[in-house]
Amino acid sequence: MPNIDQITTTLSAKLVLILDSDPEIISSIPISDVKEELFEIGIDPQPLVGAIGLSGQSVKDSDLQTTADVSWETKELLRAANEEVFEDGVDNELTKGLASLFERYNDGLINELTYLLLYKEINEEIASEILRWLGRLDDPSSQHDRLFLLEECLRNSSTRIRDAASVGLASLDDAHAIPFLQQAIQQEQCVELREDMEQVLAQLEATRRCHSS
Amino acid sequence: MPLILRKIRKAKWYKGGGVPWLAENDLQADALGDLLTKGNRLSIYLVDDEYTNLEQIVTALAANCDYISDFDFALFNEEALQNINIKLESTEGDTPDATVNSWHGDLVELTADKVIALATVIWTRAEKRRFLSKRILELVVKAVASQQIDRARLKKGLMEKIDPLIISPEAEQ
Repeated sequence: MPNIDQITTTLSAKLVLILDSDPEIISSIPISDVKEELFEIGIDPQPLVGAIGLSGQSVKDSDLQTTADVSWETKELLRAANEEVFEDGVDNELTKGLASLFERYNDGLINELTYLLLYKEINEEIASEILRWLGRLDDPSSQHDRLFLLEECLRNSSTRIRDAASVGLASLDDAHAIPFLQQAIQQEQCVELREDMEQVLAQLEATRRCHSS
Repeated sequence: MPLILRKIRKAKWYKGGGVPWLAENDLQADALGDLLTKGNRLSIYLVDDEYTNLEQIVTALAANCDYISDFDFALFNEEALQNINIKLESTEGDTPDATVNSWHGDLVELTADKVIALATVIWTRAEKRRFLSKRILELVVKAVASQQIDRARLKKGLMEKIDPLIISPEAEQ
């Protein structure tokens, strides 16, 4: 039987799905702050039950069950990852597990990770590894959602998470991220991270020039 | 005098890196995760002081991985090892590039104090650099095409990524 926390997580993930699928709602929300916008339209993002009702969509039991499954399995994977040591270029149990969950749940996993990374506290080493994996995932259908999450994480309070988001964007190599990186560079206080972001920006600008020529 | 190259994750080594509880002159403990010893030894590569073999070493190390990724590393003068009494032993490397393997060495007889001294050297004196994954991919593809890298030694996932991108020298002509 799921506990309150799991139910909250499930409903939260479902909200992300609904917002994603409803252009009217999503287009009215500035990419910079979904949470703030929810408060503005009278929805408390914590309980979320009311939000689902407000969306006017019915939520099928099977959808909720799938969301609960992916939520539970992702949390278990993240819990196990606490003991792992990560190295660039080297497979690990976390990324193997994420790849396996993605095969089964696809967007469901991306939504769950979006929720966890934006609204829950995750160990920054694990969060960084997830962002790097999201950046190199070869799946055009989820590119938009991954891009959104990586761009959002450029504003995270942790330098390591901001760096991982920037590296993930370099892997995606999508010029859409250019204004987000420019803004992140302007605001970045850590000199070394700023230089690393500038390297990513230079790559994306070269990609854009390449595509436009 | 050659430079010592050690693979790291740069973000753990940022100075004043936005960790609220960390004092300005403190290095976060996670950085030591980049200096995990085995048998009290640590693997390094020797880069000449003109950096002429740097790309070749980075390419070989990246080609030894499971997948293409960005590659972060620290470079510092070999002299720094003498200052902290760390011995360097020349040993054969384990990359798919035989030449690069000859530039491999181990830092040996390491104690916990010496690892911390080494971390301090990397943090305060090393040049820390990053090759982004896009560039790594280009370098590995080029090295495999020119047979500088032994393709047969690539891991399966990497081989599947590289193979479609390789244009043989014959095809280029």
